[in-house]
Amino acid sequence: MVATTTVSQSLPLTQGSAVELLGVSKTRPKGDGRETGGLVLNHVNLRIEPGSFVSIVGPGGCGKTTLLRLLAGLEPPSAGHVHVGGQTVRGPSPRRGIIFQDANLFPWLSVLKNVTFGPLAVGISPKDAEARATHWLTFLGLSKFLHRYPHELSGGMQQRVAIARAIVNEPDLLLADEPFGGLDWITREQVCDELLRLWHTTHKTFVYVTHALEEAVYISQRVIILSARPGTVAKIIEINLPAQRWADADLRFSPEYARLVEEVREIFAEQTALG
Amino acid sequence: MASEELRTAIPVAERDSATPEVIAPDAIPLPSNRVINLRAGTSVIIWLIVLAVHNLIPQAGASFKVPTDYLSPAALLVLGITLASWAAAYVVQGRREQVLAIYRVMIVLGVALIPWEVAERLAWIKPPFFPSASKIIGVYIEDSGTLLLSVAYSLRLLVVGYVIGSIAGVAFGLALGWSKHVSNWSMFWIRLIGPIPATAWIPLAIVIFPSSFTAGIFLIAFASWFPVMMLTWSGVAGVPKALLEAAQTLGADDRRLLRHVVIPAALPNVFVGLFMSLGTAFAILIVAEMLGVKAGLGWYITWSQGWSEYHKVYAAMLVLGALFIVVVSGIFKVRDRLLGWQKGILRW
Ligand SMILES: Nc1ncnc2c1ncn2[C@@H]1O[C@H](COP(=O)(O)OP(=O)(O)OP(=O)(O)O)[C@@H](O)[C@H]1O
Ligand SMILES: [Mg+2]
Repeated sequence: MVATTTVSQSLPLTQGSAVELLGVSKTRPKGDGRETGGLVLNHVNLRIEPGSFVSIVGPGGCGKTTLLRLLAGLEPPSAGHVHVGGQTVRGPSPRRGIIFQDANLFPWLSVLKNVTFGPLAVGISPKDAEARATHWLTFLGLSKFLHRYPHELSGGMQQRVAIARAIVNEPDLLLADEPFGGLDWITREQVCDELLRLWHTTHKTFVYVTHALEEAVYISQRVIILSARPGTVAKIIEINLPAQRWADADLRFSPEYARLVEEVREIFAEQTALG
Repeated sequence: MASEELRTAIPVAERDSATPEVIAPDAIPLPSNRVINLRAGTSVIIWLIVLAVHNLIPQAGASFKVPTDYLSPAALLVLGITLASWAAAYVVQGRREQVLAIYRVMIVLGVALIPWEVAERLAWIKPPFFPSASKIIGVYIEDSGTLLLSVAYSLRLLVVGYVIGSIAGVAFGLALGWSKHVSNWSMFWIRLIGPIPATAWIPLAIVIFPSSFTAGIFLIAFASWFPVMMLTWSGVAGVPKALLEAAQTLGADDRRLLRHVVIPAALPNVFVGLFMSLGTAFAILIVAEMLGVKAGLGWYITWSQGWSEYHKVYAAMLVLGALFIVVVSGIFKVRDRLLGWQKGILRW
């Protein structure tokens, strides 16, 4: 894996940011003709260790997306405090990258330009920005598509571009909101592995929201299960599987893996039933 | 678990090369020889009929002076072009679509000319209101100097007014879409003033501006300003929130957001506005020139009408149409450059 070695050489192994949520609640206004307003997140207390990879799962509508948006600084909490890297979150920042459910690429920019957008915005020279972008796009297997427009790529490739775009600024915290929902399972496993490998090489903090419980177990060190809406932390499960999971093809068939998935599933079902 | 093994065994870089390159879209097949021959043949026959009608039917009604015949040379020219492009269709096969486009125009023109010529020869229609085709063609030769000068004056007035109006429209539209304050404060006034037709401003414009030329510029600018502004505004308002958020989390400040996200995202709409306002601008151009400006195609039309030279009126109208085509294709050229990324998404 030539690409991986160059990556670890090029990046200093700084740790990611710690994440702290203290009594965080979020209410949404009623209206828009839907009665979905009201309390969405209810007094969430959570600490995520710097440099760790955690997954967040929970029943639909429990506030996972809302939680990530608070962490990204795209919305303020209604009560409580959100700290990332020891500082209160006050708005979006390139230190906190986010991958949305849709790739949300800029359709008028080529793949390469989509990825250089971030570095250029934080004042990196065009030459360096291009070098960095090319580096990550190559790492994600897109070196042949640098000058294509997003609509010329498949959904999976677009998501990879979105990963590259989010990671190229080397954020201390990377948030991902069900980023691979639209992909077939094989592609999904591939891109998951790439994300995992990325985490392993960068040692940043990754927060990954997913609907797929197996994926949550496979990808992360801890799985946080939220209660049904209004969401709050119901249970945290430690995943003690080897770090370089992509290297072990049989991992998904090991008894320990199965046991963990079952455990998450049970708690998840409990929470869904309660809600 | 073949796929699992495959996935872990092949490093990323090689997996990448296994993915086929995005290939060029299938080429559209060229028009066949049969289609080319059919169209070229039709064109030749039709224009031969035009020539025959023109030269073989004796002119009814006494004519004290035989006018110069411009139609026969023109028809011969068309025949020449038809034959030349017929040959070209075989020499440069890639150009066949363009050749067919030429034939389509010539066939329609010829078909329209035949009854016109018959009616003219038999004196069913009479000058000055319905001149012969030959007379209209003659204008381009006998009066080409004045006509060219008129085109130049019209273009100057149009371009200056249209550019000023469009720039103002884009600027206002961006401000309205970007700032809630601006739109809250000006919404009412824009709704009130914007839809007033530019022609209704003529009395005021004549009083305010020092010359009919500057008044004309104002009227054209005003006419183009409103549609461009409204479409720019709706374009800015329609920029997906998700793209703005993505840009913000990548570190873009307001300036970068405006320059690198809002403007490119709104640009397709801006071009719709530019295109729409061009029609209005042309209309106002002619009105302005008919009213006060002592030059340009609008003036040429009014002037010729005053002398009952309707053949000149029609000749100038055709030039006006051609001018519109030229300006529109100029705008499309710019659009194609700036919005090339849309090509794969929309039908153009
Ligand atoms: N803009 C909004 N206005 C009002 N209510 C909203 C808004 N956005 C989300 N909600 C509501 O807040 C709740 C939490 O939404 P959120 O998108 O965070 O859930 P989620 O856990 O991500 O759901 P899913 O698993 O379906 O993606 C939902 O009940 C939703 O209806
Ligand atoms: Mg969600």
